[in-house]
Amino acid sequence: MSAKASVLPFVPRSGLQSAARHPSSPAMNQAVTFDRDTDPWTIRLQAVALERDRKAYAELFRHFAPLLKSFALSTSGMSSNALAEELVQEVMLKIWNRASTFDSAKASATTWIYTLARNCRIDLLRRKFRVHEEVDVDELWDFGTDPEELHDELYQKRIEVDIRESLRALPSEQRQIIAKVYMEGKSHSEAAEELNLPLGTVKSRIRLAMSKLKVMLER
Amino acid sequence: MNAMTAPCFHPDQFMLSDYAAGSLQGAVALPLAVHLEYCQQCRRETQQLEEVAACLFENLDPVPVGEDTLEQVLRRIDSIVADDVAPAQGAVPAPLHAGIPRALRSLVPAGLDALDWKRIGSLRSSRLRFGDSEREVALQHISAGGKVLGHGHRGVEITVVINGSFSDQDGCYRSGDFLMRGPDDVHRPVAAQDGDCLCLAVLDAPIRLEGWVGRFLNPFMKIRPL
Repeated sequence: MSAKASVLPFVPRSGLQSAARHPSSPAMNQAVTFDRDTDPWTIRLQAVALERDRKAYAELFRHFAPLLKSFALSTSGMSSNALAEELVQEVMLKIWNRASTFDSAKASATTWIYTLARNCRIDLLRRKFRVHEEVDVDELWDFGTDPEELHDELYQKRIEVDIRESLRALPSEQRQIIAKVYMEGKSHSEAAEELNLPLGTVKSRIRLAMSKLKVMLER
Repeated sequence: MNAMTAPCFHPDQFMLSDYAAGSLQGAVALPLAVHLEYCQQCRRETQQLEEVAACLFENLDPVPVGEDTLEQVLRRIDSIVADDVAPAQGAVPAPLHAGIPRALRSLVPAGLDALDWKRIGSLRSSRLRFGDSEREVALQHISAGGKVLGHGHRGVEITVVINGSFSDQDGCYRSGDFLMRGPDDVHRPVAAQDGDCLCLAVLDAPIRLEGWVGRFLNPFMKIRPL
């Protein structure tokens, strides 16, 4: 980890268009343009974890809170401003409280924060629709990582870069569908209905997109 | 929770991506979470699917938050005494919970023996209170060599093997294996001779028994979510 830099590198909002162009260490593969060790959000999150750094926290807030609000508002069945603000506050609070459990070897800050937001959304939807499920959301949606899997850290990082690059290269129709399913929490049939497409088409576009994203390992 | 061998039967990629997106309905997430505890391959895929989701998340159009939201959050931070820490990872389970997947423990707070088991032939079944009003969640225990009545399904039955193994005409299923049976699948599960088999099952419609027993009983079969 690059030590607490006094001036944190500025990175525009969109990581996709601008996968950080920091010089990689020589040991790194040339293709690696995104690196958690120099990812500004990961560095700030670690500062919050280790030093309870409020300035870094405020910067995380300014970057992530508007994304969290957008994420909440795009959810089907959750379009109220009050609920979206609640999600923002809950997730930002969890970022502060759970920062010490963040492990940059497992995920980047953005991925970690996304999983907090996803779980919080499930929680809020359960509450909104008065569903009382017995198992805690964090128990159902946190599968942990075996220590042995951490050896693959470099491999994981490379996959992360691959995903970013191939997502950018995806045809818009495929990207639109996975965005619907992922960000809006829609089922495949809801997405099909909304886009006015047969369910089979939706499924095959997702399958195609996923194979292009090289997400699926050999079965 | 490491099984001796890696599972051979996995959820399909749509289920994994719905799980990563947080859009799996109700109790369906439960057998998936259990499978992930056994299956490194699916854990990796899920992690990658989360990274896809994180990329999409990062590219959403930002929406301004309230002017005093940061201030409110900071005030809440000042007023709390570290009460919301993440659940401890890899904590040693109570002896009652030995061999029970982590995702299931809160549903069997007092261990397997304390559950209310109903016996149907060589199958013992205990419904769990998950809180999904549309699905029945149950633990099923088949004693060694026990045969379960041949049955089909009116809806979808998801099964994940926790301990032991069972087989039907399509294969043999061991710890961590994830099976999804639809309306057209008829099977007659048999537990392995050398040991009992414990499974978690999630049903969204009653099963349909084969043969003369079924003719009498099918009209009365219901799922009973808790």
